[in-house]
Amino acid sequence: MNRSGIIITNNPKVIDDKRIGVEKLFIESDNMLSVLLHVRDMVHEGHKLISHPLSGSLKPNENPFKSVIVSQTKASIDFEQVKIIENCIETCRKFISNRPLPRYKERIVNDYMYVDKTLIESGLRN
Amino acid sequence: MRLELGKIRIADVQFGERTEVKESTLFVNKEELISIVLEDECIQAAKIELAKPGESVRITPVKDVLQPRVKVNGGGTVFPGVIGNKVAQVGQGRTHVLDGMAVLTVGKIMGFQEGIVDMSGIGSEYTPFSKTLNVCVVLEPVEGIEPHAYETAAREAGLKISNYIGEAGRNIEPDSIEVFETKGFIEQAALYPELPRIGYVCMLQSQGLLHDTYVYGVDAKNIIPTIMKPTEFMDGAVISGNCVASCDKIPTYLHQNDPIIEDLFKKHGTELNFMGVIITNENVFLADKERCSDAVAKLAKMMDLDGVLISEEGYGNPDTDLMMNCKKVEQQGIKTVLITDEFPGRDGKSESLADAVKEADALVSCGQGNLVITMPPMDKIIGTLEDIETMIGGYDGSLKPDGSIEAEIQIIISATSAFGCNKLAARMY
Repeated sequence: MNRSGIIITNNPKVIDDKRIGVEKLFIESDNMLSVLLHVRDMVHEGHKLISHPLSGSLKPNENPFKSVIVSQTKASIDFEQVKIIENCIETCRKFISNRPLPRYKERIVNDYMYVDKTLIESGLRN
Repeated sequence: MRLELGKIRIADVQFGERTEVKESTLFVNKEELISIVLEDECIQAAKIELAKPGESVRITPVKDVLQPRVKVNGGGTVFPGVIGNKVAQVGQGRTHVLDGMAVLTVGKIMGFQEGIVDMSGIGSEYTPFSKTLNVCVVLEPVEGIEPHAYETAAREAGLKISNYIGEAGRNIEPDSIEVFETKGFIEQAALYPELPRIGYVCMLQSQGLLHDTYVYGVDAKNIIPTIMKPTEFMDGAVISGNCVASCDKIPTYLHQNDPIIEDLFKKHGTELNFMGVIITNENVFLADKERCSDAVAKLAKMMDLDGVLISEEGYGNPDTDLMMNCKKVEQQGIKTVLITDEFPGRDGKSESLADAVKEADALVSCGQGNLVITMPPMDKIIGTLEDIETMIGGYDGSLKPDGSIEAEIQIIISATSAFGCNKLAARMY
């Protein structure tokens, strides 16, 4: 498992899963925008994106949860990566302004948490 | 490398005492099919239902759609490398197809990632599976099962049922035979030296649970891009294990009947020289995206292609794979045309894709998924309407008291699939 990353997440299932032995930073938020904004700040500080911020093909106004892996170490700013995260934030804002996140039943919220966690685990396993 | 597809026209499907094809009618033995599904201890109960074009029937939540086929000769089996099938290479010899029908697996896996097939009304216009005679396998898992295990059980149930029904076509004389042939690269290039050499880059969804595709039984997230004969797809070498947003979905049926491959073969030898298919994946990690897009460009160059078509499955980070593939292939001096769908919001005014590069200057749109329609109530529901409002494309108030559904067309299976299997397109004015 790649242990050199930090997971930035608003997904409690990722935080609670002890098997994910990577440093984690919890962002308390009911949507993914706050996570993406935090990741953007880290990319500007020189952290590298390891996972794609829009992983999962679930749109930001459908999926409340997001986990993104960035490098622990910092280097010079990668402007290609700045572009990727800025594009993702723009996409996220577009979707949420078009139609905000619905209020989901608990079972559906759990399903979204589960899929977000699985997506990040599938990346870590490789 | 020559495959004959013997198409057996199926004009009707009925329950019968034996599973067999008689005078263009497929009879299926319901009890036999149920017992095959229940061999898997993850499945607690199963129902088999039939749905025909034009009927007042709504099927939901649909997981996968498959077409029964059987390998008559040429080695290997349909759906190689899974459900105990041989892993031998396929794509040669003769395969019989039960043409005009499909198997649909139906059941809740996650509460939001499956979709709708309406057999009549406006919703039926948006999915290719309202035009097929459908054998629906409605699944109910055992209590407390892990989603991974249930996804596997549901996927395998569809494959087993499809293989079983396909066997009914083994000794039937087909109504028509189509022949598809791809030669070795040097011989193929020399065959039509005056025509442009065209390849097809097929991007397979591979991000994780409910976002997976399998190639000869291998999870596509673990592959390095490789070259395939187009006929391998026709024999089921690539199968869907995913439930991405329904409209984007490439079910197994569409890998077996890939309209891009079919159209390239139609123009093969007259307008272009179809050289083969490059498969690649859509992984979560940026390093994978770099590695695989580099490999796609390298393979396209090694095949000495003049142009490639690139299709994708899904939205969001696959757009980044699409653009990386486009840019790197173009940098090799090879022209690209991208095939995708769009999510520009209900007013159609926002950016359609999550990523873009300047090299992406030729793009075919298969429609926009945010379009809202109202589908009328149906007399019969196969499956359940329980999760309509939380399925992707649905929202609070989508399910009306009379049973009609107002939703974005994202909720309909393959409505905007980037294989171009539907009627939607975008044109410049």
